[in-house]
Amino acid sequence: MKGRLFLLMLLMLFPSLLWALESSEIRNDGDGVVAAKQYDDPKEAVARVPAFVTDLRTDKLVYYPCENCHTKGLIAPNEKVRELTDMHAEIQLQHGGGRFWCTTCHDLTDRNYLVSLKKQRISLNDPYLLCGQCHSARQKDYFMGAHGRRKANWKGEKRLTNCTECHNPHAPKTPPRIPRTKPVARMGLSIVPTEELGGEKVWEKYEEAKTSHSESKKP
Amino acid sequence: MKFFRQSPDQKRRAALKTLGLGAAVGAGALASSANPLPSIEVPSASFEDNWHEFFQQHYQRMSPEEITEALARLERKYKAKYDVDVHVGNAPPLEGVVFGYALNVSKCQGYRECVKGCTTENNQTKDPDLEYIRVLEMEKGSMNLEHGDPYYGEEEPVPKPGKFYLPIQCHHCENPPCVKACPVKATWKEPDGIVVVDYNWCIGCRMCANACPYWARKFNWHEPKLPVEAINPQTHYLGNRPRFRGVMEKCTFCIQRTREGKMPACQEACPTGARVFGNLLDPHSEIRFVLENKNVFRLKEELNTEPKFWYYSD
Repeated sequence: MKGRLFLLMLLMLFPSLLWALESSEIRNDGDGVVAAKQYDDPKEAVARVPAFVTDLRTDKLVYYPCENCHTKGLIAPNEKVRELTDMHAEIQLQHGGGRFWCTTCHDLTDRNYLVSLKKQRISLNDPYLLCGQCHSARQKDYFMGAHGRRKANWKGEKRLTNCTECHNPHAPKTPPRIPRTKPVARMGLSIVPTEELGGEKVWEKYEEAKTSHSESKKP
Repeated sequence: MKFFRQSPDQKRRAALKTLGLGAAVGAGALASSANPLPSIEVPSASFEDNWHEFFQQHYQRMSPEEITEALARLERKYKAKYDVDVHVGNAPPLEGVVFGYALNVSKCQGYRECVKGCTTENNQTKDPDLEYIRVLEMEKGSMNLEHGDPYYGEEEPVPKPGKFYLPIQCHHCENPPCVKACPVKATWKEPDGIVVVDYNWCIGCRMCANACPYWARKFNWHEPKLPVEAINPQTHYLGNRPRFRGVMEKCTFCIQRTREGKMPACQEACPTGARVFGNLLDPHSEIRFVLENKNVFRLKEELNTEPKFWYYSD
C-alpha cells in the first residue's frame, strides 16, 4: 500500500516519468504485424504471421512451365510495351489502368517466376507476396483471416485460398453474375412484391391519420 | 448436463414401455401378422422401433446407452424410409471452443451460393426448399431489415447498383429468446454456443419462431420431401438428420461438420470469402482478428440477445 502511494506521488511530481514509459512502448515494434511497409524481401511479410499453406498453383496453369517457350531460345525476351497477337492474346491487362506491363510482375530473364518491384524472384505458387507489395492492408487481412477464405477446416492446418483463385491478376475486379434461384413461398402461400401492394405502408398511413386528426381538431 | 438418476416419471415410462411392448408382441403373435399397428409416417420401420421412439427421453436426460440405442434406432428408421445408410452421430462439444461467425457485408455480392451450400448439406425438405439463410437485398445507406427484399430475382446479375446484400441465419445468441420461449425445453444452447433442437422432443408449437427476432427458425408444415439422391448421409442427432413433419428446425452452424473441425457448408460455398468462422476462445483465430480489428456490428443489438454472429466491413 505504501509502495503504491509512493509511486502515485512520484508520478504526480514527475509526470514525465509516465511519458517516458509510454514513448518507449511506442518505439518498441513488438511482435504484432506491421502493415504498410515496403519490405526489402517480400518473404518478410509472412515471417510474423500465423503459419499457413496454399495449394500449388503451377499444376493448374495452362502454359506452365513458361520456360518451354520463353527461356529455351524460342522467343527472345522483349520488354517493349506492345499489343500481343501471336500468343496470350486473351489477356486483357486492365490491372493498374495502363501503368503495368508483363515484366512489372513477370521475371524477364526467367519466366517461371514472378518478380517483385525490387527484383526478387517470387514463385508462381506464392502470388500473395507479389500482390502484397501494393495491397499491403489486404495482405495483412489475408494473413490474419479477414480477407480471402480458409479452406476445409477451422482448426488444425490453415489452408488459404490464393489471391489468384478468386481474382484474375490481369483484371482483378469480379464482374457481376446471376445469383442462385430465389426462395419460393411455402406450399399454399404466394409472395406479393411490395410494389403490387400499392406502396402503402402502415407507418405512412399512421402519419396521415395523425395529421388529419390534428387538423380536424383545429377550429 | 445429463441426469442419470431415474426420476419417478422415468420409472413410470420404463414400466409403461415394457408393459406395452409385451402386450404388443402378444397381440402380434395372436394376430400372426407382420406389422400389427402400421405407422402412418414410416410404413416400413418396425413397430418396436416406433414404440421405443415414442417413449424416447429428452436428449439431455438420456443415459449414454439410451443415446446409442436412439441413434441406432434412427439409422434403422432412415434405412427403412430412404434405403440409405445414414450415419447419425452425437459428437460432443469440444473443450475450450465457442463458435462465432463474422460476415463481411462489403464482400457479400448476393450470389446466394451459401444458401445452396446449406441446402445440400443439411437434408432440408426440397421443392419448395426450406432455407436457413435469407439473403436480404438492402438499399445502400439503409439498415431497416423490414425493407430488405429476400426475393430479389435470379434474372438480373448481382450486385445491382445501389444495393447491398445482408445474409441472415441463426445468430446463435448467447441469450437466446427462442430457448426461453420453448415450453418443453426441446431447444437449448450447447456448451460450444450452438443453439440446437431435439427434433424428437419438439412438439411443434412454434413459440420459438415467434420469439426469434432474426427469422431463423423454420417449421416443417408438411412431411419433408427429401429425394434419396439429395440425402447427406453424414448427420448429427442435433443437426442435419432428416426431420419429420411438425418439428422446428434451424441453422446449427453445421454441427456435424464444425464439431469435427471442419468449416460450415455456407463458409465453404461462399465464393467471395465474406464468411469467417472460428473459435471465439482462441486468441489467434481469424474470427478474433476480425472482431478486434474491424468495424463489427450485430443485428438488433438493443434486444440484448448477444448474437455470436457479427457483420463487418472493410
